[in-house]
Amino acid sequence: MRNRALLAHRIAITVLWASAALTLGILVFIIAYILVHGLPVLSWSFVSRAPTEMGRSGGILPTIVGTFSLTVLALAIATPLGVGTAIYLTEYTRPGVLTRVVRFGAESLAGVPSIIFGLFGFMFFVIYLRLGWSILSGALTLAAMILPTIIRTSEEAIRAVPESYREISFALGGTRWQTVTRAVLPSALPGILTGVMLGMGRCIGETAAVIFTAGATLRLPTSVFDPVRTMAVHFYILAREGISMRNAYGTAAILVISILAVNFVAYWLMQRFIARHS
Amino acid sequence: MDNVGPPKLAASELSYFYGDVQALREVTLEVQPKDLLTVMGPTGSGKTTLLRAFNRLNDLISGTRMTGRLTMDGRDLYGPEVDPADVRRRIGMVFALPVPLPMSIYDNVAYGPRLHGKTRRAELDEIVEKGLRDAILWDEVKDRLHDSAFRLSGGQQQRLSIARVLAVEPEVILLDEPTSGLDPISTLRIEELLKQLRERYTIVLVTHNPQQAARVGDRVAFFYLGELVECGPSQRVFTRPRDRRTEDYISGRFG
Repeated sequence: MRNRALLAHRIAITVLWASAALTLGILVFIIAYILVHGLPVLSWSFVSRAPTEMGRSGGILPTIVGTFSLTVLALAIATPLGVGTAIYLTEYTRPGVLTRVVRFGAESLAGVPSIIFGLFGFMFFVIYLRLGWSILSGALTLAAMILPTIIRTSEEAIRAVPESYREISFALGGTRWQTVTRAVLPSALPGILTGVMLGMGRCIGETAAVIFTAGATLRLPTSVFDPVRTMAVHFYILAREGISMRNAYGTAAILVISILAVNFVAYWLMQRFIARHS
Repeated sequence: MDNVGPPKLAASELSYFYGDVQALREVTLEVQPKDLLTVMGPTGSGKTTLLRAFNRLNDLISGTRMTGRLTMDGRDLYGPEVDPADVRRRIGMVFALPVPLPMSIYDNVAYGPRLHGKTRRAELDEIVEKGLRDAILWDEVKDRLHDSAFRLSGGQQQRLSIARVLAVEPEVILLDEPTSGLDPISTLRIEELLKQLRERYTIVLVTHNPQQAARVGDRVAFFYLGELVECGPSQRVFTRPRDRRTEDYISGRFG
């Protein structure tokens, strides 16, 4: 019997180790594959110049601007809305029908494929509100797409703040709002930031929702009412239409590098914040 | 005792319910200005509820119900024109477990004053130093005011909690078993601190430890199962208790 238990234990360890190794392996392989094909393409002119011949040659500057402006605007819309909703749900209402409805809605929304958001954004923002293919339409669509993630993660982060912090703040004569902003949110910030980072990652990599709402022009935008092409869309078009696999990999490499960079910076900021507050 | 004005704090026929559970039964009690009342009793006797009703912290819990009257300086604490936040500032509360807010020692003490609009650095510096001195913590932390408050020992954290309360200049300080999580030496320090504070504040100390009540309080109230069994000068209650339950409690037969 002991031998069988020992055997089961060894098999379990091996299987678990193998799944972890496989997961990590796949991830490293994908990133390495893209970088191996993409890095040789990269140069200063690739990121600083506009494309020529539909992207067969030249750089990808407008698509970097496109991704950046869409992502920043989408986060600027979704973060206050999402965090605000989470604060309302956790601090200002008692659990009841309303909180369940909002939570159910947010969870259902989180499972909707992004192309549905694209279609909705096209019908509502682009056509109905006459915003056209624009940074604004795209950002609003992306904001709707990442909102559930931000609400959920913020809500969990706020709920995890010890009740004693709230009691201390109230007992010193703090109002609800003072307590939320000074005692609760600082402690919940790392968790909230995680949700925002997840949302940012989805924005940077999104194609389906963007192509419907922000367009695919290669011109540099001058305002939020202009259409843009993002890196992800550019990559998709270059590869799909067989314009240039070389430049598609180059774009993908920049995309991967920026996502990694954003995550590292966020992680670093979070560690600094945690070190200062505990 | 010659009472010219109304008592600092008073409860009259106070009953308190959490849902269907009655935590206090028609409690009538007075605390005179600059008095130190210790409230003793076993777990579940309603001591904490009494404190949380006085500074209106229980407003935040749903499903509570109260009958009777609570006053401060003769004025109803639950009157329609009363701002609960103002009540909580004037009636400070120190909790059983020392919990620092996740910030520096300085910011912990400055938290309350900042809530009430004090932002000038020089003024805050002064308030923080005074609060920490009054809580007998200054000498131990003056060189590391901007360190995280989590680096303090349990006893220091509890004195920090007291400094945090003193910094908003309350008129009354309620302490809910402030030494229950502390070692004997830290406990002794808190008790000495209370003896200093009683000259300037009205204090209500809740404890489940009759020895502590005997050591610290001028007057002592004994609660049992939500009822105020007996209240009087410590000397008298501990030497000649009037109620059999008080006698059993202080002699250690239960509790």
